[in-house]
Amino acid sequence: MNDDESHVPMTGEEKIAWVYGAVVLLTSGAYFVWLATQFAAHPADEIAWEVPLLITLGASIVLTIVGTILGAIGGAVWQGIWGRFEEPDFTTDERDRAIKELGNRRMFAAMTAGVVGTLVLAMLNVDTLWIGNWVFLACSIGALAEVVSKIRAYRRGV
Amino acid sequence: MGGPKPTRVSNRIRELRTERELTQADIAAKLGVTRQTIIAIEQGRYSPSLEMAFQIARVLEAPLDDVFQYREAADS
Amino acid sequence: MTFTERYTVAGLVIGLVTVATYVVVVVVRAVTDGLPLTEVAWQGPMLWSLIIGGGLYALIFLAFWLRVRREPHTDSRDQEIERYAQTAGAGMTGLAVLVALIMMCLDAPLFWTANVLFIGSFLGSLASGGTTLSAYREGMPA
Repeated sequence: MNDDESHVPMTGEEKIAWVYGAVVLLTSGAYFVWLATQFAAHPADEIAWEVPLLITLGASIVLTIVGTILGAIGGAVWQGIWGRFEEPDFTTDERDRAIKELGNRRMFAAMTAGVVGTLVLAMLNVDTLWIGNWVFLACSIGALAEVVSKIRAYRRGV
Repeated sequence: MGGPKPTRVSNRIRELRTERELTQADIAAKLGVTRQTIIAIEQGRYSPSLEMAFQIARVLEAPLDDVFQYREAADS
Repeated sequence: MTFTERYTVAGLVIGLVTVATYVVVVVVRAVTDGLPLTEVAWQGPMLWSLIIGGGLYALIFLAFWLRVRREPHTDSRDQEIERYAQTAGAGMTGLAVLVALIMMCLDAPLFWTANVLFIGSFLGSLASGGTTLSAYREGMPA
């Protein structure tokens, strides 16, 4: 009984991590690039950032869901091409939970920085442009850090 | 902080498994875990919980310390 | 009680008292000055509650730590419980952050945004503290 270990498909959880990472990079990246161009063109208090940020949030959720579904289908197709039919692994087992906890720690650290900074800025009555974008930036970086640590754990070990 | 924690636990899952003609997928299915987790354990990239270690030994019909070995520290 | 349990209990108690005091101060100000909540000066009370609450917590933590520093006072069980509990609390705090962010995008009054964040994070810390203590008393899921 030979287990072919050269092409083990990723677990569902790892796939989600990859998709989520790519989506955050894309959506938050695009948003912040756009925001930077706005700073060049307008004074800070005239930048209409609220709607673009909402769109970015919504897009990241939708794209993650769509991306995960496509990834699952694509994975099945890919396996079919190579004639390898394995049950798609969507179980979440103790290893997935352990890795999720690991990822959460990174996200939590970034989020704490976001929250503390936000409360301080709010107490100083700073324009919400800075407050909202600080929180979004902290969480975007946190999400990326979380995804990177999860993928490393899946590949290299916890 | 990155990379796996060094562990002194090694295992003979692959050996015992092939003796009993079980695939990784078989074991994974019986335990309700992903095949990737079984691979990670065999390759030393993941330390199973105590519960899971017992379950693996049970599936392999072997005593726990036949399946898992704890290396005594030669150094510190 | 372990060292970790002790400072977790202290944190929960201090947190509860500080936040309750803050809420009372803000509400009293609104009532006595006849202002709608959004116009109350919440910044001062929040800052004070953070400083006083944080300071008290730091002092008590230090006191506990001084008692145990000569022996091993945390082990792998404590670390595992801490990780497990943090996941429990992070969800609540994350939700608060998301809601606050959306509120800012919708131009909600700063009073509400800041307080959603403040109270939401506090609830998250309650969740993780409660999970910690229950994990020590009853154990974690396998």
